[in-house]
This record gives sequence, structure tokens and C-alpha cells, in this order.
Amino acid sequence: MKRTSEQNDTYDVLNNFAEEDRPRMKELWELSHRYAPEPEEVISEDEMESALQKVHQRMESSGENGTSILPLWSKWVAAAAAALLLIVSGYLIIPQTVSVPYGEMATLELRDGTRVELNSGSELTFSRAFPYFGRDVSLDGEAFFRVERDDKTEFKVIANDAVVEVTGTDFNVRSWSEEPDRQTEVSVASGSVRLYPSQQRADGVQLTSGMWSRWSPEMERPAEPKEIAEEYISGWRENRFIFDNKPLWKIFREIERRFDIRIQIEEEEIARQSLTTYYNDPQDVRTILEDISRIKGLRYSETANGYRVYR
Amino acid sequence: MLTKEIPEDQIRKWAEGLAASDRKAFDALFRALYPPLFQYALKITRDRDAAGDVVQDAFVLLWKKRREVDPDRSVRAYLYRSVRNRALNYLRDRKEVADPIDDLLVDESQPADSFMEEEQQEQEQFRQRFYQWINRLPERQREAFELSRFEGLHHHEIAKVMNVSHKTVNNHLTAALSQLREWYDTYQQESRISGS
Repeated sequence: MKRTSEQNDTYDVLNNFAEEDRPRMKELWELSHRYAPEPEEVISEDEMESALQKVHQRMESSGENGTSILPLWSKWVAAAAAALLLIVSGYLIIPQTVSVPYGEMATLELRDGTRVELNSGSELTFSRAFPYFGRDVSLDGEAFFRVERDDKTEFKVIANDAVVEVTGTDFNVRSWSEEPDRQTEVSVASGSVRLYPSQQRADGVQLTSGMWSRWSPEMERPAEPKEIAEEYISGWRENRFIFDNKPLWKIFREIERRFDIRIQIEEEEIARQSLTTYYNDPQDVRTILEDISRIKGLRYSETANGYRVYR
Repeated sequence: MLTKEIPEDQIRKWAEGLAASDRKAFDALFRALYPPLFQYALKITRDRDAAGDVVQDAFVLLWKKRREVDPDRSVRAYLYRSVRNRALNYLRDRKEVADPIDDLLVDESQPADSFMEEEQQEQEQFRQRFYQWINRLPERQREAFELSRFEGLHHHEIAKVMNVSHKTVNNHLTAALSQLREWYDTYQQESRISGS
């Protein structure tokens, strides 16, 4: 039998729990639905009808029915139009920023049809006039781009003084301004992209499907492209947690963003140790910390807003 | 609040009508969704007039944009999102950020009706406790949970209202549920001890 979407939703949530916990969770799930608070103030039928009347009136006056009267042309209208143009163009200069809270991920579609998936804590900035005067976006954080092909206008991602330039392809960019090395990592899922320092386009490297490279401001040119397994490219999109020989402070920062908690590292030395780790769909921080601590011989304790890691 | 369940294909039919400028479909949609949207707006704005305005604005805009309506995407989610953002803007513009924690909280000091059966009283007590728990959840978890359990929205609709991915909604709900369970367990243990 086909499940309704309500049943699907319930199933999706309950499925995240261990089998023996499910009945209890189901009980709470259903109980909370029954406990929906009663309306604080009831609106009467009359009130609703009068609201509908008001809406009807505004529907008429919005001139959407094709019979709006054109105003007489006058220099006043022209002046007003010019002033409006000024205001609008001023508005268009102010860039638009989408930021994703910790603990969440977001997908957005830009006006040219490009899809961008943003990892927790990331920020994407672009012009309000996008894409009419070029397809440039700025990224602070990590994002997967599925760029709509347009051979006439390149799509550019600008991050930490690096530029990733493409015409139409799928790729992942990771570049946090808060990380001291200000490194930009790019990996390509399909098609090809060019990664270069924003000052020196000629010093760039061309990356094709399955390739990875990185650049940070202290490097002369981006690292020689090398092959990378597909799951490494953007495992985060499937909620995976993959780190290949990365320092602990980077791993902990990622945990902080993903789970919206704070992790204090007691000693600098701990932060610099590196680790390779893989989780398919981690649901809680404890398991991860437990593992890391065991491997690295560390201990951890709970704090008001997260954990403290020490030796 | 819990609305009369409106079947998804009904909403879809109205959306199709709306896209074809059918006023009857618009009115039917309005009558079905005005009450829950009004309550929802009221919860945010704490002001009857503002709540009415916000919801009416959302419907007027929906009519203006009716040609862009895609019946495959929930109109209900679109309206909730529109009402939510307008209501939050209203709050922001009034520079009076109502603490959402106070919302929804039914007056705790209300004396239990002495004529109430004991069992009913107990249930009422639990109910109050339950609302307190909800209010203690992290902001985004609470919003997702209320939209799901109280407003009866589907996950794909909540994703649209909160502008996050489907997966994030699922994560929020899972986290909320496990937190509630912890409190629920403790509560039951306590009442067992005090009841014996």
C-alpha cells in the first residue's frame, strides 16, 4: 500500500532511532500531535468573511486584471522615474548574503538556474542584479555548486583571494576565512574548472572530473591536481563526515559547525595532531568524540555548550 | 493549533485552480487556511490586528503571483513561509522583539479545577509540563517540531518554510524527539516515585 506523506515523514524520523527505542518515540510523536495547543483566540466566521472581503478589494485595486489606466506622461513622471532608477540602482549595488546557521544545511537556486548547497556555517554573497552583470559569487565556507551552463558568461567563485572559474559543471569548494591558512580546496565531480590566485590568472591549474587541488595565499600557485575518491568530494552533502589526514582543530571546527556546539581544546599540541576519520551519518557528537579520544589517547568532558578536550 | 486535516490533493487542486485565475479556488483556499495561518501569525506577533494584516497581505500577494504558482510545490508551505517572514518583519520593525519563549505557554498559575477528575488533573499537569519542554528546545528545533506536530505540516513543507533542506528538518525533529524523550523518562520516573 502506498504510504501518505505524513506516514513517510513519521517513518523517516522514527527510522533514525534504534529499533527498541522506536515504540517510545512513536508514542511521543503521536502524543505531541494530540497536544497541539488550542487556539488562543478563536476567529469567528464573520471575521474571516470580512477578512476575505478586504482581500478581494485589494485584489481588484492591484490593477492585475489588465485594465489599469496609464498615467499621463509629464516631466514629473520622468523626474520620479529617474529618482526611482537611482534608488533601484543603489539597491542593486548592495550585495545579498545567504548565511546558514550552525547545525543546518541549505540549498538555494540562483537566478541563472545554478544550484548551490551550503554546508553548516557557510555564507554566500552575490549581487542583487545577479546574473545580469556577470556571474560572480563570494563564498566563505563550504559549498557544492551545480552550475548552469552558459558559454558566454563564466561563473566565478571568489574565496580567500582564490578564484574558481567555470562555464557549467559540478564541483565543491571549501574555503573558510576563519582558518589561519586561508586555504581554498576545490574538487570536481563533473566537467572542468580553473582554480587560480585572484591576482594571477595565468598561474592557475585546470581541474577535471575526479580531481582535487588547493591553494592558499602563501603558495605561489595551486597544488598539482591529484585524483580523489568521489565520496571525499562532498560527503558532507549526505551528512557524511570524512577527514583524510586533517589536523584535529579542523575536524573539531567542522563538528562545531555541524552540530552547533563548542569544543575547547586544552593544548595547542592536541590541536595540531592529525587524523583520518569517516562517519556515514553521525547522529551525535559523543560517539565521534569517544572514538577520537580513544585513538588519540585524549579525554573529554561536557561543558555548558559543548565539550572540553584534554589529555 | 491542530487544523482539520486538509488532504494534500485538495490543496493541490486549489493550487491548480489558482494558477488558472479561478477565484472560487482562491476563496476555498482562503477559508481553509485563514484560521490556522491567523493563529500562527498571532503566536509570533502577539497582536490580533497585525496577525490579520500579515495573513491578508500573504493572500493578496499569492493572488498577484498566481500565474507563478506551481501545484507540485505546496501552496500551504508558501503561505506559511510568507506569513512567517512578514510576521517576523513586523516584530523587527516594531523594534520589540517578543521573546518567543513566552509564547504559547499557557498560564501555569491557573488553578486546577477542583471539579476536575484526578486523572484529568494529572493529564493537564503533564500537558503544561510538555509545553515547557517544547519551549526549552533550541530555537530551530522547536520551530521545526511545532510546524510538524502542532501545525501539521509535512517535512517538505517545513523545509520550505524554514528555508533548509529536507535532511535538516529530519535532523531537527530527531534531535527534538530524543531530547523530549529524556525529559519524558525523567518525568515518569519522578511521578512514579512521588505517586507510590
